[in-house]
Amino acid sequence: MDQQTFIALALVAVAVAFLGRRLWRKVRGRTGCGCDHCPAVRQGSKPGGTA
Amino acid sequence: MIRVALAGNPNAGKTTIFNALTGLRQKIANYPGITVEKKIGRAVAGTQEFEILDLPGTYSLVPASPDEAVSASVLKGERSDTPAPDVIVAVVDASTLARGLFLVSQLMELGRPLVVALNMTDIADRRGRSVDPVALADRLGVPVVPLVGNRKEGVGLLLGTLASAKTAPKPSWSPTADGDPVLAEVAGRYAWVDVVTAACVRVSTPRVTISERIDHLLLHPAFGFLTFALIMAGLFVTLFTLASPLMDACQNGVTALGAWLTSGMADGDLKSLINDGIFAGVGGVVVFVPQIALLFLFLSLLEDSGYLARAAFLMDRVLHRVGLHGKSFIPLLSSFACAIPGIISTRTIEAPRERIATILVAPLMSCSARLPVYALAIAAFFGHWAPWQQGMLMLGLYVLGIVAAFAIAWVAMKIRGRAGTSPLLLELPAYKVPQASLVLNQVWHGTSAFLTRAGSIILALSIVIWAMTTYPKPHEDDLARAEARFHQAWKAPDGVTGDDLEAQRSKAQERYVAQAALEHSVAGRLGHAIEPVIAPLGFDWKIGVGLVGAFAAREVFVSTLGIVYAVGGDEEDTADLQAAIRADRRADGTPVWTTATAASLLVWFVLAMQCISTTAVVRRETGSWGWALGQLVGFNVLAWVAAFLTWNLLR
Repeated sequence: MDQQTFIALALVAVAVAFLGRRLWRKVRGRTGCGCDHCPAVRQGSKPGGTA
Repeated sequence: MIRVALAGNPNAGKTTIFNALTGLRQKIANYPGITVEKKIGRAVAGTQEFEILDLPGTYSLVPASPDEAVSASVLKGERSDTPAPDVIVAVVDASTLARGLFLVSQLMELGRPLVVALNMTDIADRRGRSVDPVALADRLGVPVVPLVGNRKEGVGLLLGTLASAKTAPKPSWSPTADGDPVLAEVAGRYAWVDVVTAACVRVSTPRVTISERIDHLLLHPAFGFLTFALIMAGLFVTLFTLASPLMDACQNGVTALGAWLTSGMADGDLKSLINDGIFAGVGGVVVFVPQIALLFLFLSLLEDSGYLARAAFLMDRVLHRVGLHGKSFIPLLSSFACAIPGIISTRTIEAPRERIATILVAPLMSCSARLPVYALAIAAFFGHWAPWQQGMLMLGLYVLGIVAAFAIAWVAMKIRGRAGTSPLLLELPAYKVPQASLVLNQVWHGTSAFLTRAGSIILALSIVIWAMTTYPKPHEDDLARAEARFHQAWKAPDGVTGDDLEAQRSKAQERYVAQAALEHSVAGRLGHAIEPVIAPLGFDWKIGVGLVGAFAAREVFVSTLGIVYAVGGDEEDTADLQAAIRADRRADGTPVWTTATAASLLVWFVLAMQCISTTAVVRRETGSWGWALGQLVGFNVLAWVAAFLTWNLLR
């Protein structure tokens, strides 16, 4: 494996880890909706329509 | 530290006063119920520190909606997550004093120190209903501070008064003789309110304001709708006309940066990742920043000028007919930026059925993530149209989403029946020249959210999709077989000889082999696997790869196509994605992308439910997987059928 392939695969691994962590946190409800558009949700509102 | 809670009717100016007190930046809008989340800030007066809590707007401590319930429970000290306030500031709109005093009568009974912030005194004066703050303070037995919140007049005095606030005496009202105890209480409180207002309101001849004159035209049943349609059409045409040169400049900048960064690198996977993955993927999305920024600019201008509240008022009648509510307008409008805050803001809708109906149809409003897909398809296949025609086509896509939303809401109303509806209470703020700082702040907020997303999720997805289009690499024997197949199949074009013929053959061979490598990759196999499902819509496996990517985020469709065509073609043809997709051919030589394909794809993107984050939020807000999954499956089936019909009608 040459140097370029090694670095490219390392970057792919970092990207997969980032997306995996994000998905995991979303499933666990740590980041609210997981959307970057709504800061209020990221601050941690409670689900269920009762805030 | 003194804990202060700001309570008051929707649109009484709590958020404006909160901003003035704390200096925190926060969205200010001219419609009820914007404050659906907990907002805390800090303020200092001398050596005294205050913690200011901005509560959702409420008309009464007997809540009628989820956000009103939050306000009531905080003020009563019933929430475990929020300590009871030490001081309550009742923000009262002086121009609608009676409604505000109804809530004040309930706040006085809580037995906590109370200060009345008498806001918008300037508007009350203009309307010929000046309020005497001294007389009001005398009647209520609590400090009354006159304010003009948007000009920050009186805010310092309010801060100084907070430390000396004292417990309010109980108001002296008694229930009337009405048979219904609730009505008897309401009537009794309003009788008390009448006595108080009679003592402190000085009535003079109201001046007909400019806003009222404008409203005669803009709220007219016929002319109002015509103006609304013209404003929206003008918005989209301007969006297209203005954004075009800016987008070209962005495209050139991104291409030049990518070429410069990798100019010294040898060919290899890293260079391919940077050029074909990151720059083709993220760059493909970033070029749409001018359009996104302009969309937010126009919406902010309409909002801050006071026109959006009129639009909500105009739309109330239409919305009611299809089983929605006037209050659905703001969530639906927010959904044009992103469905998620739109769905969350449905908490202001009291009637559960209308709220669920709004949540159901909100994702049909074309969000900003769809804009790049629309713009790409329109520019590539309708680029020969005049800018105004392209703008009208774009508007047509937005209208298609709205019509579909109304149709679905109407069908849902017919199936489930109409529940008891609540009337729309809406303050129409005075028209004003939009505040530049506020507008620019909102444009920055919306654009930076888009860029943050491009720099995080879309960057990561672009890298992963590049890997999926690159690995596993075909064995050298496979490539040799592909070359052999090419030699068998390739026919020299007539009239081309010598070096030109060799150059064309070499280019075609390179593309053929790259295509074979792409088909061998994970993405290629995935695209082929779903091809039977999407072929009836006129889509090939490459578009299929894009559609799979779009389920992570819709705009990823554009970046995925950028990657697929950058990997599968040569650099000269893929410098411009629009040119690349126009040049793409099937095995039989027919073009992959036709006007029918573009139209089918656009219809798919208008109607399909592709955003997993939205599904998660629908699940939370409805408390039911049934609604969330039903919406996911139902909308995608609807989109498939509509795209199928479009393709077959236009092919």
